Amino acid sequence: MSEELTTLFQQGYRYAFSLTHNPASAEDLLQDAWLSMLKINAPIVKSYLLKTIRNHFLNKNRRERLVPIIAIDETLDDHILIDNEADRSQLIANQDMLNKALSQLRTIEREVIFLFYIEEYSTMEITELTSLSKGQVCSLIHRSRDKLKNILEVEAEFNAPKAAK
Amino acid sequence: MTKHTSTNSGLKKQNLKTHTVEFYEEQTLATDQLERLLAMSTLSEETKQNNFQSWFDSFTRLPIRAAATIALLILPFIFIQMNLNSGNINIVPQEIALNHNKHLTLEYKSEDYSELNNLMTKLDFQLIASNNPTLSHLKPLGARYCSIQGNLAAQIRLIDNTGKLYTLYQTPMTQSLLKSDFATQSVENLLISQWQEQDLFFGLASPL
Repeated sequence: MSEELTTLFQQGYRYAFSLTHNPASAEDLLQDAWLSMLKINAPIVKSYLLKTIRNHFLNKNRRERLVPIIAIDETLDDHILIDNEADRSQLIANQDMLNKALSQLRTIEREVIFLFYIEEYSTMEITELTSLSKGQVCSLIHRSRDKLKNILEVEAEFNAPKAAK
Repeated sequence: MTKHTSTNSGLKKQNLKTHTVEFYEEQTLATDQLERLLAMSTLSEETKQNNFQSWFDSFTRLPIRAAATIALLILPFIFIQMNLNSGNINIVPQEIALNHNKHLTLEYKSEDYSELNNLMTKLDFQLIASNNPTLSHLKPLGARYCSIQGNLAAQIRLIDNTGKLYTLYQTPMTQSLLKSDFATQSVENLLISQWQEQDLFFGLASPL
């Protein structure tokens, strides 16, 4: 049981980190969420934990409404996420560059990237967690990945003279 | 143009997904924090089991006919009491101890409660200097935001004249906090005391 809980806590922590991009804040968020789940005898499942973490994050950061800035006519379908250029191309990067690049994304952009890439959530699962429409989720994933890729490419180019040595 | 300070160490050429997955897999919960969360889970489970055992033992000692009658009458009340008791009594002191032991960086530095109150604009209550004589020899160093039972709270770091650090929490009193056992308790090598002043809940973590 403790092994299962350990895995759950790590998953919850990484999700909290995707929202806060700060280790201490992520720990706080996970702890608050877990305590509130214990208090009400909530089901100990990942989906419930992630939802609780999200709700606590929104409560603590009322200005951070996690609203995507997407024009209505820009909502996309699932097919745009398959075999995407951002995923095919090879990028030169390290952990430090990823850290800086992710810090430049908006919270909701980091969140969808995390859920899509790391948790491998389907667009439907992301829709259920975030209450965004499927079109908005697809568009967000598509734009966020392109944005992240562009940031990393610029960073790699900037560091290229060092890398060439 | 200022050069970035990124080093070349760990540079890899791979696709975006692999980079992102590797990055997040490196983000792991600190071992001490993980252990505390596991301990909280165990404590909550034991509290629930003890409540059920006490209820069951008291029930089986009675004669069957009388027990059946009494069960019909009091079962709803026992069930309500179990729900009131489960998880709440020891969770708050655990939370206070856990937050104290994390020794997180102060967000605001000041030795004055009024100044801290002015600085902490996110609080929806007024920070006050407690009249509890226990705190009379303690000086504030600063504060940060935290939460108690999911409610926004102020966490104030205090110091005594020997250099020992204490943590004081203030948050509006709630029905849930009122159910907490206000008896002073020893948790994780700390003395945890709780009380109410005006409409605020106070929690103090003191080193033993």
